[in-house]
Amino acid sequence: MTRALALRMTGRLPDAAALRRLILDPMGAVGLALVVLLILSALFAGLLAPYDPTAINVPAKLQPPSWDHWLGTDQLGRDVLSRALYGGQIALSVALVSTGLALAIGMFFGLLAGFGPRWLDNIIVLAFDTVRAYPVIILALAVGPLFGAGMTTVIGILVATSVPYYGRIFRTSVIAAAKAEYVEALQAMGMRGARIVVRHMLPNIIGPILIVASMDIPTFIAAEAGLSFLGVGVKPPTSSWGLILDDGYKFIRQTPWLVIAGSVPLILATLGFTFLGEALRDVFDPKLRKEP
Amino acid sequence: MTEKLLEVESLAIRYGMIPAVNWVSFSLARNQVLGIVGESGSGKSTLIWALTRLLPEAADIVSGSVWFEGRDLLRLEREALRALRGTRISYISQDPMSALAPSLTIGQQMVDILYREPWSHREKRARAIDALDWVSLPDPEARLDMYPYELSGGQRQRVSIAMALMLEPDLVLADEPTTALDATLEVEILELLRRLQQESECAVVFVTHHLGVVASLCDEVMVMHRGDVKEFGAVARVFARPEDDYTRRLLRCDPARIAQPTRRLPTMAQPPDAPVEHHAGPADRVKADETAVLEIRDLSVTFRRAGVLPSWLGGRPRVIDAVKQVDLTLHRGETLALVGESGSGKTTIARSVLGLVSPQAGSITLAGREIIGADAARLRAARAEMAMMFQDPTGSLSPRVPLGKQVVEPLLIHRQGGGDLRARALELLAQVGLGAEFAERYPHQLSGGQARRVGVARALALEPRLIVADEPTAGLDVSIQGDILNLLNEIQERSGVAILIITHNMSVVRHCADRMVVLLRGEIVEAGASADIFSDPSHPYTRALIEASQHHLPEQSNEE
Repeated sequence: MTRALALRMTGRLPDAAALRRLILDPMGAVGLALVVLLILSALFAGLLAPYDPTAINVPAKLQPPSWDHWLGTDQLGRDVLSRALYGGQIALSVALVSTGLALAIGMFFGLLAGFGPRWLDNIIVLAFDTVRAYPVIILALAVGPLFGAGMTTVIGILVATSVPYYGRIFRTSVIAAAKAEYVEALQAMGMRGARIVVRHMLPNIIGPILIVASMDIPTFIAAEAGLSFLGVGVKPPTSSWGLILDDGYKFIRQTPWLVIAGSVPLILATLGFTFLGEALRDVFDPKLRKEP
Repeated sequence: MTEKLLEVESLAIRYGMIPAVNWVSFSLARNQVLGIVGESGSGKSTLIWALTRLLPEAADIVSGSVWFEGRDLLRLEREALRALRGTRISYISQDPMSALAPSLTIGQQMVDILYREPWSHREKRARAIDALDWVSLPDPEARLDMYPYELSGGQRQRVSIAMALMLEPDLVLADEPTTALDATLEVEILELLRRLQQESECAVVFVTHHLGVVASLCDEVMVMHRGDVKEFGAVARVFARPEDDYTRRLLRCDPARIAQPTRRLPTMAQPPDAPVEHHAGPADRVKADETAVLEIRDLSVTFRRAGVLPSWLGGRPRVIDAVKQVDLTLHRGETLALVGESGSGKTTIARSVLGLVSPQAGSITLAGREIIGADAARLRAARAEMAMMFQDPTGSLSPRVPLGKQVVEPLLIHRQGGGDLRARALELLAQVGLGAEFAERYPHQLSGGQARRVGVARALALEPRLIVADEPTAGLDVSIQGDILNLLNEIQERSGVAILIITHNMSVVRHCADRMVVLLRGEIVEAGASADIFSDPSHPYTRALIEASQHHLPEQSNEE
């Protein structure tokens, strides 16, 4: 009976009921609202921003918030609200592109390791472990200057360090899924391996992995800000939350507003994605749910 | 001994809005054994969980009380209840593997239960040895230091019984304790429980969907259906003169209770007093067509398990003979049953036929074509002519593909997908008695019986010559077993497909198989027409299997 119950609750695609459960969960509702707000403000940054984020107006530097500049100005007189909005664009695109690429590449190597011959599996797993042994920041500081700072480098570093992570999840999931009776049933019917993987196994293992990935987006957002702060990420005059923070630390004696303007959106974005990811996991993981 | 040990008064439990147990009242005297039977979803497990308040979080107790020695267990304080659990009331669960902690030895777990007692560790260990000896586990002292995975299923169940009875409780709750076991093991465990019950004079509440278990073990029986108690009374009376309509249907459906073999088993839908139709099927169909569909000659399969040490350190792989020199022939329109316990090699034979394992020696020919050593293209061609129904009906369906697509999947695989696939899917579903609405459903939305039907539909898609059915009634309620077996029999009569049934359920063999092959540790010990073997088994193992199945038959059956 419990087994039938568990079966009924897993293997389910997102539907209206799942969405309703997500919104009814206070954490999920807050997370969803923050994420939607972030996405909208990033998409419409061009319309919402009152100023050009790179327009320099030195006489008006380091102003506190006012009706003209809601979040004040930085040391070059640039409007901080505009810079924060465009910074959201950068943060979101870096996070989404890195997650997408890391998932795709991780899936490729993970499947290769899971289905390939033993020796290939060993080589791939060894490579995964080698990459994972480097701390992200140290690797970024070492590799960053080599390729030059910029958005591509940030994405490159984030993808390289998270591919082994997703690759391992894919590898373990397919090895586990290959033992399922339905896979054997399809084999017994004479279905080709590739077709079993694409049509039957992937749809079953991808759901949980996507939820893990959604919980990694805040990490990527924070990593982008951190790398930009350290000078291996996005370069000025392009805007980034990390750069606003960097400026804020330099001028913290003159004004606290830059640090606040750089950190509040970063905190809200990471919180939003974390809440949403956890709520999603609760909605889809039957073991954590309480109703029958 | 009229003193009431347990008294349940108008107990009602719901899961949210769904009622699970509806105002049930009963009482149990000391030293009595009560059997609760019912289909899955009848509320029998919920009821037994409520007796020690081990209910799932989602369950709400709407009303009622459970009186045990003058105290209401449903309103008892947590600590007081905990003091009763294990000492006065204990619980034997369905799955002996998950009931034991995997990373502790048997001894550690058994000693741990005795934490309330003032004895020294040595004394507790001695107690544990006594308890294991009591449940007839051979060499108890050595077993005490073993981990659960080192024991077989039957041994594990003995251990969990020993643990439940170690403190000599007054009330033992047993939730389907033999469901996960083989036929002969089931009898052993039941006999053990009966002996222990008599020796310790405890009362037992026994939950099962197996009518035979009730007949052989219980004093009283309660029949549940959708949360209601349909019938409650002494076993002999209920089995001989059932008063309730549902009980009569249920008793009539049990294949084990029908003395004369028939290929048209009674179903729940029929009126409870209709006579059982003794349909033997076309008697001469095997002789009429002597073409062998499947021929197995000298089949041997060995598995190699890596040794503890790597080979360069002198470790030697363990070689297990799963199947030893087996010969089988299966004709068109014939049903052959492979019988034996788990580990006897019957599933390995089936998997070899389907090309899922590679045998070391022998030959398997399907309609004259060799399967062993066939290249990929030939194996595919052979697989188009046979279909397997796997043991787990839901697990063998792909979880995220709608059923309408799954049943025609074999057609797509073998490029016979011309024409209207959707129409073909609906036709296949209709053949197994499922409506068009099932085409859009997913496996998790099905009951066990429905999933089994989908499995049959998928097996029929290519109109195969051979269907291999691995435990076709496993996990199904008695009330549905007949439906599925009738379906297979009808399909066979219509299409002449040969069926290889793998089972340890002897009543399935008796009613459905023309011939049977008995396997013991990978070897055939007896083979022949099933009617002959049932009337005169020659090998002692076969005799034990048949006796085990008839063990459950009430002395006198009122079917005729």
